[in-house]
Amino acid sequence: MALLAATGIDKRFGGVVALRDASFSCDAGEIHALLGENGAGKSTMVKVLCGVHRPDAGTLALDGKSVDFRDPAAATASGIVPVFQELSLIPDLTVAENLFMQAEPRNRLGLLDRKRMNRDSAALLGRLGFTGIDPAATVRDLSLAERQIVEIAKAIGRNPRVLILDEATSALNSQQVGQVFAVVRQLRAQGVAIVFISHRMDEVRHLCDRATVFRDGQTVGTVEVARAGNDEIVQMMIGRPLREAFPPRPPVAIDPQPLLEVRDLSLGSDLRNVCFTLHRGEILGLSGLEGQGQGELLFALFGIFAGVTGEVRVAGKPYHPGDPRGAMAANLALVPEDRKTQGLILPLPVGENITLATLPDVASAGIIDEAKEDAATGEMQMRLAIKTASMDTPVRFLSGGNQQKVSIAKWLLTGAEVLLLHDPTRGIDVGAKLEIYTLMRDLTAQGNGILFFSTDLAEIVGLCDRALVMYEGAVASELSGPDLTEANLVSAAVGVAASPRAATA
Amino acid sequence: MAAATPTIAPTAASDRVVHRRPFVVRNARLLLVWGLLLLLLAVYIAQAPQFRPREQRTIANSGLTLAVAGFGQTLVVLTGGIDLSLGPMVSLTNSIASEITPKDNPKAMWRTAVIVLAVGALGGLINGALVAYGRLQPIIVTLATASVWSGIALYVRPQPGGFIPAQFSELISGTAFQKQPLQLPFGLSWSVPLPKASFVVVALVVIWLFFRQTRIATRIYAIGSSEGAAYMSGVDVARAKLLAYTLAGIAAGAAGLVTSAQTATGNALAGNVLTLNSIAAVVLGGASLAGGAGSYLGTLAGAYVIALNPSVLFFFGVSPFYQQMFQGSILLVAVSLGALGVFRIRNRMDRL
Repeated sequence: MALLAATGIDKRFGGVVALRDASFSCDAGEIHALLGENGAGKSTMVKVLCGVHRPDAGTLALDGKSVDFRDPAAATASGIVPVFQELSLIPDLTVAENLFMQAEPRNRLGLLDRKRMNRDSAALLGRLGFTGIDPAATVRDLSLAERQIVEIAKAIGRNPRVLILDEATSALNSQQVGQVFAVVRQLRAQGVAIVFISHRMDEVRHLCDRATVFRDGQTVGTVEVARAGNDEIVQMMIGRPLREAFPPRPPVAIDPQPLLEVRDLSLGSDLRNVCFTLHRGEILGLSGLEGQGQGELLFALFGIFAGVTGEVRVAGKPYHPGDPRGAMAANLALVPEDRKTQGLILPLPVGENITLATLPDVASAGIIDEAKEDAATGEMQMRLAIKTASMDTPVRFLSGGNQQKVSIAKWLLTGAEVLLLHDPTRGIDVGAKLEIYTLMRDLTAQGNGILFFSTDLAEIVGLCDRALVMYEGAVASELSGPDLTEANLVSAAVGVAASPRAATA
Repeated sequence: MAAATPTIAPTAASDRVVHRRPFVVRNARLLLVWGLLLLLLAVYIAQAPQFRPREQRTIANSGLTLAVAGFGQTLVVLTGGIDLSLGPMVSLTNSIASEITPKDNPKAMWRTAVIVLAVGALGGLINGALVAYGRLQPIIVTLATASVWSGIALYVRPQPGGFIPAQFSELISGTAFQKQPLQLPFGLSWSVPLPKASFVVVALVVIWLFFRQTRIATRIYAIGSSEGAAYMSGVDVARAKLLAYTLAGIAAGAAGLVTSAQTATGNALAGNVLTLNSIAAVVLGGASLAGGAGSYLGTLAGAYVIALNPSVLFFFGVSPFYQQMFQGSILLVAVSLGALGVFRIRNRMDRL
């Protein structure tokens, strides 16, 4: 009998189906991997298992008995302890206070026994082989890797029956990962079930006994890791036909002068020596699993982060990303991921949103010239085929696709040539997606260059001329032509690419 | 299949030893505000014509209501909230205290004290329930309840007046050991007069030091620092908030009692100034209005800095008309110094 089993789980967020009749079970004394693309439902399943989300349908059973967790505390009390990538540590408390959160030792007066907390914390961290962290240090002062170690220690300190590691070692170096794995194997020997999510296929191979693959919110199947090949697993992860039609790629007529040249762009540990070039007329895809630095790359180019190093040239002229105004002056435009909070001002009319970034151009002596504004917005409406009752309609009444067009129109008016698109088709319907694709092709035909980050592999394959696959802040691989396939993208993204780092042309 | 994993560069974290930050760094804001307070005190003592028990008592009393109310404001601010109803609650409890104590039975002041603290607790409970379970913004909830408390205070006491027993005033705001030395064991005695308000201050510090060692204090810091992480760690966020606001209400009730003792009367507007002053004291004391960081020990010093400020400015011949301006400037300087620590955050969108 399985230690923990989830059967027929449905979970919807608004209109988005995250899990559909998905199942998962794990036994005591095994390390069980969850695999799948971005948005396949792994994380949602894990959150159902540990009481963060309550399923809309389906059952959870622990030791064969049906359970229903009201909140994470209830799951933890039953011995199901998660470690998430988004950390559950309190930055302003000490390491010891975090390790013993909700389980603090108390003295006879009922007050916290800080001495014992610090001593036990040091012992726990020592057991994991991490002696360099003072339990009295504040979590805010720890590096990301150190925080992950504390997070793992916190979970292990709860004496879990089921330990869930959701990308829990993503910031650790190989030596630290080795130490954590040694402890995880010890726990397995003690009969603990470990659910393991990682984007590093080699980690899954080294550590896991079985793997369950998710795709589009459903369970595809469970395999013995030792018997399944990488190809088989990758096939299970993709396993679907292209869903959308894409506009044809125009014949390649690459301008020899690069539009955007990036050399050794670095940002702490988020971006490491990123090099690439983007030409006029080109759509360059950014792929890889979520959180590998793609978003950071776009933000860094647009000047949102301080501390960015490296060389950037736009149309041959040196450009240092310092702030968004400088980026706009260099003819860069960023269409942010969250159009509702970062891209648009929802209560304002369509027209005012479009001219927001170019007010000086439509104003004379500080007063907005309505004729100029109408001319500018009218042109954009034509060019992008924005469907709206009028330019005075508040933008929140528009469909997702049309909102995204307004967001793009705003930046086209600035005369931007380099467009940085951050997952522009997320959460919009298929028809609108196709319009955005067509628009992107039109824009490149007019001589713009597009750096296009998408979490949807089909888009990268169907739309882009080339694609960079990012892994841990670096460009792990560059794919183009016949090599630009979903299988290659997935392989490169999980670190099993047959082709090593491609040329940084 | 040979796995060609991208090489992972060893991070600097691997062999680094993380220590607790040194005491001075950890408590920089606290030391700053206490330094400021000691400076003001030194100026006061140097400039004042005399420094007799009378002056000592005046100083100790001048910041006491703010010190008591600031205890409550500190708890709420630590959760990441704010309590704008604190001042009106002081007014309300002061009004009630002056109304319900019978003139022929001064001993009934004990009953009055219990009732007043209960009223404060009830008000705080209402704030807390609306914030924690109603999921409303603290600033709106307490802005609204501030008006409600003010309205009730004016209903209870339309004109200033009422009765507070003189014995109670003496108990809180008098001077101890002035007429009678304190007899200690072994034939020793203590004959240096001390303002009774200083006992209240010591009690507040002791209560804080104990409170800081409780689970609930850790919860309050946790939810202010990262509510999501606290929830994921199994903290009952709503209950911790409810408790913080309720304790703040009790502190407001206690401040109402102190006001009653000091003024020996009731006034439906007596405490209103405490709302903003208590927030100023908390901020001067180094707490983050975002929650999660700060200490009552800082608020206490901040309260007396605010209380001493007018006297010190008076000694320098600054017209009372400009005192507010100086007060505001001191607050700005203190907050700016505190903001220096924020430069570590590397971008304005806070890592998105």
